[in-house]
Amino acid sequence: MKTRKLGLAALLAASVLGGCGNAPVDTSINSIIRGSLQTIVAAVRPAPERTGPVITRAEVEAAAMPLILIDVPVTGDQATAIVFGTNGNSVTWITLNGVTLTLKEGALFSTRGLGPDLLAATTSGLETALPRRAPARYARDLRYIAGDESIRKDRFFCELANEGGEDRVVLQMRHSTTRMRESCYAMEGGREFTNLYWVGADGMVWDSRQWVSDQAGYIHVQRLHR
Amino acid sequence: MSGKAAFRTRLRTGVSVLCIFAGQAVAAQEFRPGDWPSMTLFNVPGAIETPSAFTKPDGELSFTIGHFAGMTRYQFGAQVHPRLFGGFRYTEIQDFDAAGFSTYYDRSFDLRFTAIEETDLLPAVTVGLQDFIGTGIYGAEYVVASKHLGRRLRVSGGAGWGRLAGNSVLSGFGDRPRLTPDQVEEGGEPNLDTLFRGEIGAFGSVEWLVRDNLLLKAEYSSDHYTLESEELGVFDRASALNFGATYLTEGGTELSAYYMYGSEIGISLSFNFNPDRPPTGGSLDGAPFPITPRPSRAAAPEAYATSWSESAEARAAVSSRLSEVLLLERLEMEGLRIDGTSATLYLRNSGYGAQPQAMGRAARLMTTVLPPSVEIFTIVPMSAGMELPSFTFRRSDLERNEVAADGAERMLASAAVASTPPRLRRADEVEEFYPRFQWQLEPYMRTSLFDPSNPFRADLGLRLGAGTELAKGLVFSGSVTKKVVGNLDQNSRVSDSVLPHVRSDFPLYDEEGDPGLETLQAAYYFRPGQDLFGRMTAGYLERMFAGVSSEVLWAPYDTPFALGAELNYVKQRDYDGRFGLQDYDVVTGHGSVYYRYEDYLAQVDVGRYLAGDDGATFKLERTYGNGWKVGAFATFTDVSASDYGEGSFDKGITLTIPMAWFSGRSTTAVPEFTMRPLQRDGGARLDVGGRLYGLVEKGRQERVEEQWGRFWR
Repeated sequence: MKTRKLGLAALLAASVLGGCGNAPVDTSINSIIRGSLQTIVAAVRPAPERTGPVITRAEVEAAAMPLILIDVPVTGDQATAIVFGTNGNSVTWITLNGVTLTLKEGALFSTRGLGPDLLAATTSGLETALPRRAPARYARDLRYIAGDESIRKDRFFCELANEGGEDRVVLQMRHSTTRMRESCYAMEGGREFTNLYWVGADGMVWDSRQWVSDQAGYIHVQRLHR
Repeated sequence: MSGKAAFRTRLRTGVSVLCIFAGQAVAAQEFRPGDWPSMTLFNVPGAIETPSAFTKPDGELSFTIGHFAGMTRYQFGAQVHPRLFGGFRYTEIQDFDAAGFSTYYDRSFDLRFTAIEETDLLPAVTVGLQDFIGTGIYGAEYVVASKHLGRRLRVSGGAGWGRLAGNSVLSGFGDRPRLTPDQVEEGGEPNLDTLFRGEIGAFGSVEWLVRDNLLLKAEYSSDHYTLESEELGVFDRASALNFGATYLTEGGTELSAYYMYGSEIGISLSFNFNPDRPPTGGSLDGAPFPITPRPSRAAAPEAYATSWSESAEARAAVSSRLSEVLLLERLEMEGLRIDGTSATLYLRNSGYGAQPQAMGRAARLMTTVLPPSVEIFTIVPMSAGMELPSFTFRRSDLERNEVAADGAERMLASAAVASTPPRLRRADEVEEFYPRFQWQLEPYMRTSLFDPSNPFRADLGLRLGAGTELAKGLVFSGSVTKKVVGNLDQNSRVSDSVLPHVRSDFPLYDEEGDPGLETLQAAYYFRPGQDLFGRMTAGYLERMFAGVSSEVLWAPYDTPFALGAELNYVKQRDYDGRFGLQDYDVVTGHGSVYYRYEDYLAQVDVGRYLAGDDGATFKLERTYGNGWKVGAFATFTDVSASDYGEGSFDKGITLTIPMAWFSGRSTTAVPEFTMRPLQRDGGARLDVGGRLYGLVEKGRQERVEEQWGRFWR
């Protein structure tokens, strides 16, 4: 009797962990329990501390393809990303674990997979002025999916200023750039952010610090390879 | 090298540790729990035992466990509307010798309405009913006014009836019989005839937010605990003054300690959270596939040729590729009708709680797989073989709006919706989609709550379920359960019901029905006409009944209301969980109205219940955009309160929780929990699976539009 009980209990555990079933897409309670367990395990066992950048210049040159490096200071995470798709002047970059950034002429349009994502941002004033390193004034709407699933639109008023030439080192490679400062503030709530872009003579944004959302804060995007 | 393999190789050159924002991230930037009212031992906004007039943020839920003097209160409350708060309380009182119990269990319901919201000049004013259905041992009514003095100080003062009239400063209107131990029996009736009657007492409190995480409270309570302290000796009430301190965590949890009534120490723990404030701060789903636009027609006119569509093989090749890539996104293709310029995808969404997200991802994949000449995309979401309202998009709109700041809004505005889309024809079905056989082994839990002799009983066990879809909408399924651990069988309660024992014999089912056949049935789902949905189910429908069940639902895409009708003939099953049937049979059925208004869903079912009683069930739910629902229901039938027995009528609280809310990862699993005081035989409905409104709701306008932000997610 006791062994039978134990056997049943083992089967119970196995059904949860092993994923007992043959559905092409597992929608059962098992998948949820399994997912929760993974989250708990990940929380209890933090990832090993990272020392130095996740990639070297030699690896970049060996890969010989367009590549960016993304830094999220809030979490301390860093990842490289490659081109996933191109739609007009929008380039979508993807990391190994499926996070994407979409940039228009180097200006952040959207993020996916971070959690507190930027759904979409207007870049119309920015994307024309940035490659020309020209000062400009414009309004920007940043859209988010709020906790109640509605689309939240935050309107900012921005000023783009040319702060002069600066040599910028990106992963051991020196670029001569112009530093552009974009100061944005919201009419309501006193919210503001300041983005920085280091733009090369041909309009390439080699380095930038750009606002994502209240929770994710700023991210850094560096262009490692053309 | 194929495209997919090339992509994989490219991915490997990127090294990544980019991680997710799981954990205690907090969504709303204005999240300062210290500014919100804290919860009393009765789980309403207020000080220690006395209420204040303040309101919680709209939609906020609170779970509070409070304990003092051998009394423990387990409570759930919700600010269901900016002015309306509802609560449920389950109380355990030791040494309470009423009605022959040494430990007494009591259920009660609260309702609060805030008549005046606080302004710079005016205080907030709230009218409250405490324990207004039930035995009424906590029965009280109050009118209370509250005001902030600066940000950190708040004061409240109020007048109370019933329990809160202990110090009787005014004599009031009418009589209110004093509650004696003998009266603490059946309960369940709304105590409407005694509301705001009898003596009136006065109470007041001061709260001081010392730091953002520390709140000190002092109050003068007009609750004299006459029953507990004078008649039953549960504790000694020596003073009217209570003092306490509450520690507030950043997440909104409250930990409180009190010195109460001059003799007792009290403690409480409150969890406050809001479905509109998900713990992950946003969806953690992997990114969708980007859209690569077609070359312009001027640049590559040959790409737009439609000649490919004349070949059945070319069409089949497109179809099988689409079906393959959809699976990568946890979506399944049931059928595809395609010609040179348009495509209709019949989509089964197994991956996403939000239908717009499934449609957006499917649309993205259609742009990558379908030949450039196909300009018109129609997506028909399928639910149990029924075509839900379809969405038609122009491919050029998708290409343009993917990278437009207002792209989501534009896609909704440009989509053409058909409430009753064309049927999926046999010829367009994916080959070998049917028959499909699925099985699953998963854990189950069965509970029996609020039984006075043991308020929490549960069984945990294994459920083996199997189902086969023979054709579109035709499903044979069954499940057996085997208990592993639990105490549901330790129930000696023998039903004393004078009605047919349609539910009250549940201890016999628990005891004799293990292992048991839970269900074994055939179901057919279909669309009988414009805006109509239909269901026929026959077999062993639930643990206690077998028979036939039929249902039809009228639910156009864009009306806030829907109408349903259900007719069943069932016989009661044997207790042993096998195939045998008992003699009792009944024709039961309901007409239903569903009405969605803003964040509320109301449902009224009128008809005949399992015990042959006639009446109506009223259900009101607060709905949230992300799939949460918090609701309450009550059933009134022609069974008298005394025939019904304990509780007087069937009522309860329902909670619907989308599992994706916790993890941030989309799933279609949205379990529903019902908390009801012991179910009796009156007002009992057949528990048949797969009722239509639940299958159809996700495709209706309100639902689709409130989640539309996920189209490009």
